[in-house]
Amino acid sequence: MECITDNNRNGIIYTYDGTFDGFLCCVFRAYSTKRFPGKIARYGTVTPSIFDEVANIQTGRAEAERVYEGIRKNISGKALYYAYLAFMTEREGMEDDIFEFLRLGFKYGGRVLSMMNNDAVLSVVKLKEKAYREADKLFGFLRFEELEGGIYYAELEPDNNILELLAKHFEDRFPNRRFIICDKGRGLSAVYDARELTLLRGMPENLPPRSESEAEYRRLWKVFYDAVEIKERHNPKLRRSMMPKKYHKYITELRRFPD
Amino acid sequence: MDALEKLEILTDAAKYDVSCASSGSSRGGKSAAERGASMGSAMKSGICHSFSGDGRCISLLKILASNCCIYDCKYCVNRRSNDVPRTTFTAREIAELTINFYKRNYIEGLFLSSGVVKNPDYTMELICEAVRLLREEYGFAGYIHAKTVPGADPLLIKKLGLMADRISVNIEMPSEESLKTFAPDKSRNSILKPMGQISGGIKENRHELALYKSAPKFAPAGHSTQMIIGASPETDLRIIKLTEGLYKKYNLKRVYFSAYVPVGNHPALPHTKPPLMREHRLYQADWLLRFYGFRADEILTEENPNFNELLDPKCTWAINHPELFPVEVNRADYNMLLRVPGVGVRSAKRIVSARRYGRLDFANLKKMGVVLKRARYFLVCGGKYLDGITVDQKNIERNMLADAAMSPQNAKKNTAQLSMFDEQFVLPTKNEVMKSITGEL
Repeated sequence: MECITDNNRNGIIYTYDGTFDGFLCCVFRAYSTKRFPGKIARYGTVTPSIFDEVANIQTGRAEAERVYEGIRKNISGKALYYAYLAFMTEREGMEDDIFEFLRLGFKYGGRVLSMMNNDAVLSVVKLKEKAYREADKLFGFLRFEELEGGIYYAELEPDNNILELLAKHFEDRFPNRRFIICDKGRGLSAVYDARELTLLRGMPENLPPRSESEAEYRRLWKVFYDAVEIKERHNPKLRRSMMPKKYHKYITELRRFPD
Repeated sequence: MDALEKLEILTDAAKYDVSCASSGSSRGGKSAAERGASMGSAMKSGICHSFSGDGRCISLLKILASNCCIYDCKYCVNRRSNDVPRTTFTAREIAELTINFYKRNYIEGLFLSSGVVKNPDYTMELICEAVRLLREEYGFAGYIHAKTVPGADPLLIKKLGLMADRISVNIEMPSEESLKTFAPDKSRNSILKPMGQISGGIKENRHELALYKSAPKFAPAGHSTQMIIGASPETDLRIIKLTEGLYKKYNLKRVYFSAYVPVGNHPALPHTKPPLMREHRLYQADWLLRFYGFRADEILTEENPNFNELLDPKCTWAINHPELFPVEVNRADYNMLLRVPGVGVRSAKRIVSARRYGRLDFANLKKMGVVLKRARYFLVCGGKYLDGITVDQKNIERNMLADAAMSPQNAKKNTAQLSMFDEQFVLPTKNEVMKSITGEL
């Protein structure tokens, strides 16, 4: 909970459901009613003062779609991508920076992306880099296990909400393979059935056991991992900075297995 | 011998080759139906999948096809006269390992090299067969980097180049004399000839691709090479001049430096720890050549042919050119901004784009990622130094050395262990710095 004070005393506060579509609906409302919000926040995360007016914005697919198109057409596809990734950091207050970024974008067009001396623009660019940096790391660190029946299963707990981005990368990489990727922290799953990718709330249940060859390849990989180190250059600090501890839990070669 | 043991031997034998890049190719993005049974993609920027205990990136399954070598290169762990267990993979074993590691997302692809078994052609055929199996039988569309063997038939190099993303040949030593001393079975010519063929093949192929989009691709991720440093007596100047020449003449994507790890037995070889700081400085200089518009003879001179252990090459250069500084942030052109210590490619670009919308001050610069700790001696905003300090050009070096001495890495008097936080100023991002130290990008 946080208290809203001075800077948006005379504004209206938009609250939404926390989804990107929901956020875009706030943008839609702002432009259709010509009332720009002093703050945009998730439902239940702000305590308005007596001067504040709060509008709970309902998420509608059609409104969100119009804003998507509006951003693509009037700003640029790149700006949409920036806004999306910055949003996925879920950083407190990021909605206001993204809104300001889009407002400038609607005014100045695609060149908003080069207006780095504006704090909101710089913030969006940095947030986008932050989210992408983590996704980029996890493209590499994610580990699939082969389950019986040829399903590939992976778990992780990213700081940013990047499950969709990750799943799309693996859809491109393994178009003929069924896989499930779970964001355990957020309780989200991405399921790909070798045709279509679906994002679901919740974790899969009754997964088949690991395939017969899984333990063997895991051992082979561990042997490779240990042998490839040049012992004369041993440098655990460098490894830790490149592969932060928070990810170790799901990285095959760093996990302990009973067998 | 079981698979585990074989993998251990042939990984151990391959690990001194530092190249591990999986970048430069772009594939994928088609629908499942279009792609049939194929699997895999390649990202333009490459992906690190893990980091070994030495902090180096693991992107590819880096193995030798065989460590049974007929040559006796003194610096090499696989030399004929060395007493180590020997073994050879079959092409099928290599393909199976690659595909099963890839499916689990352990790796980005394969980096296949080999000792010279029987003769160069025989070895190249083994490498070609493993790559062919992966591409044709397993439908593998991930990244493959294969080494060509000096002295192999040009037709085999051509064949390999049409299947792999990157092919390369190692220059091994920074000079011909050292090559003669330490690798008597290899000649300068046997290395440069295939390098020339690969470079020419790539050039020709880019031309074909411009004419016919569907022309088969020859080494789409380009080629690279590596040399061992610290085993032979060349100066840093000689090494970066060679590097510059290689980039110009052969259009290499990367030149890698590998700090010599004492595994050899020749009396002229050192028995000291690998020179990691020297390797690091060479990579920094390599960055200056490739991204910062520097020439080799600007970075080092005949009077000062070696790097300063305490200051990076860009700072050293700036201190030696007081006539060019300070630089006015709001007016200097992009190329000059790039030459300022503490300003990287990314922040220089940001400065150039942001100043069109208003004057910049030091607070703006800080937010854009300029490292003021170093840049403050060389930059002015609206004619003023940071905090209104006056900078006496003569004192800059002393101040910077003091800064360097106070940094954690030198406080511990442990310059061989690289600090990960202190070096970002000269290179685009921290991530890329580490990749450069680990010899990866």
